[in-house]
Amino acid sequence: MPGRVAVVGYGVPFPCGQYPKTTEVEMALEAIKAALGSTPLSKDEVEGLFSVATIEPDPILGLDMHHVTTYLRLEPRSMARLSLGGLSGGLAVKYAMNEIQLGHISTALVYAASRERSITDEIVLRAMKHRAFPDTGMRLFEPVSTQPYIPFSAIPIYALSARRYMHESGATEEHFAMAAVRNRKGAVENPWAAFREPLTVEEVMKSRKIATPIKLLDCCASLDGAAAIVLASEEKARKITDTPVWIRGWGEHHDKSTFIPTDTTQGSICRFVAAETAARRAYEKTGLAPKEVDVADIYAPFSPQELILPEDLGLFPRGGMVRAIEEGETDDDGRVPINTDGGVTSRGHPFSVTPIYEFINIVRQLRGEAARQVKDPRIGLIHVEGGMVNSSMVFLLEAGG
Amino acid sequence: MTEPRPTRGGMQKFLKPSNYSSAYLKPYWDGLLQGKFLLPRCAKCRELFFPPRPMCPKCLSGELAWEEMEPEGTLHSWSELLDRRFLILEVPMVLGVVDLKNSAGRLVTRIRAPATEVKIGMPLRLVFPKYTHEGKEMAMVEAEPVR
Ligand SMILES: [Zn+2]
Repeated sequence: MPGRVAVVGYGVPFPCGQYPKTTEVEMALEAIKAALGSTPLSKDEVEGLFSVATIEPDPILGLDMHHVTTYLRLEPRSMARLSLGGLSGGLAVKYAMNEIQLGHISTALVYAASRERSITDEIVLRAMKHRAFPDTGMRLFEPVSTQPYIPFSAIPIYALSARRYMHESGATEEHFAMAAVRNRKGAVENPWAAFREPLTVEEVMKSRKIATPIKLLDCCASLDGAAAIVLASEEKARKITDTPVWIRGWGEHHDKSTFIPTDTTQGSICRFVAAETAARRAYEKTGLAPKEVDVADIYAPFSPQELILPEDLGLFPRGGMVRAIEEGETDDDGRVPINTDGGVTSRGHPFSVTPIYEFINIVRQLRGEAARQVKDPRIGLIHVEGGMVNSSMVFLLEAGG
Repeated sequence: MTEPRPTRGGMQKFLKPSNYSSAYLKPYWDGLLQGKFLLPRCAKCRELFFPPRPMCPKCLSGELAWEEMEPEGTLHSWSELLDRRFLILEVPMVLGVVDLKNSAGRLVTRIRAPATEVKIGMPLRLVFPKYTHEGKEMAMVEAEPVR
């Protein structure tokens, strides 16, 4: 029986936003410092250092982690960088947990720092100047020759999923807007969120149409940000904090498609096998039931998926999110509060940092220190995804003490 | 029925030879040019599949034969793209997921109809408009409502 692992600290050095004049390495240093500062640990006590793919200084070799260890004079005995789209942050946490449970290390720091917004702006400006666009974005999807007209963006893909969900569940665009508004209520009180102005359903409905039924205010915003969490073995956690948050277990699954499931007409685009299966495995592994979840943070890049994913995760019956969102069942005083600090749509979405933000939201909730605190939560759920939910991880956390 | 709009040369720019000229895609590509929708069928396990792959996704055999399919399907879902920043496309444009008639798979492509005339479940016919890319004649696959 492997020992337990706890989250014992976290840090967000600055709000999610646009930071064109810094580097990802500098942002990482600040995140690590902030997370360590929330614990009594010195930097020399960090035995494992784990992160996700970055864009600079080099996206391929991963040697930016050496910059971080050099600048901080760190000598971890375990180090790794994990990369699988939006899932990366979840994988880095899993790797850290595994290393602790294997007994290789007793403390781990997991960080993510991304300047994806500023770097994308630079690339687009350069491309517009030279009238040539890089084709790397196109290679994300199926070969252009067999799946023509999939544009340089994930928005249309998720819009296709949203339209099908409307067809199958009876959801309307107003229901999607309600989810965006619920997320915003959390962001208003989250000092690290990018979008903190109150929002109404009318404003979402009137916002610019991007790819129907998705409108501007249904979308996440690609931004820059950094965050870190500290993990420890049970023995170590007891020495570090009075309020450890235990990672009870996780489930993971990867479906056999890239964005739209194309190689069969059976796969659903509005019911995500990877999320469903990952959740089932997480419940099985921990012995917890979906009805025991007191608070959840869900990785939904667009507001329609805010309705689909809680159904996949077993928090609401199939099609049940339509009524749940109408009746406020996912508000902070509802049956299963979801995305209480802004969610992907309002917190801001540097995709590799988002999973770390999610852990921080749930840890704060389970410690009773959230800005928008749910009443006495015991079990928290974190869902992380990559592709169009082609990969999913579900973590179940428990308040300690 | 709206006529296909020119794509500002954008789409062609993205059809990099490195992408479309992979050897395994040549029969598919040549078929479109002749107005035929060819799909690979595994010579070993008889699996029919779409999109074409370098090997059979079921049994991994590289021995593939090509069969002509009825160019028909139904609309599984759709979205009207309106943002000009979908860099390579003329907007507005209806993007659709087409369930192919033989259940071999799904095609994500342009639906040649205005948003007001598309409906989930409607029957569609595949069409193969031609254009020139780097001096070479090529064909694309799109879908239009069956009237
Ligand atoms: Zn085969």
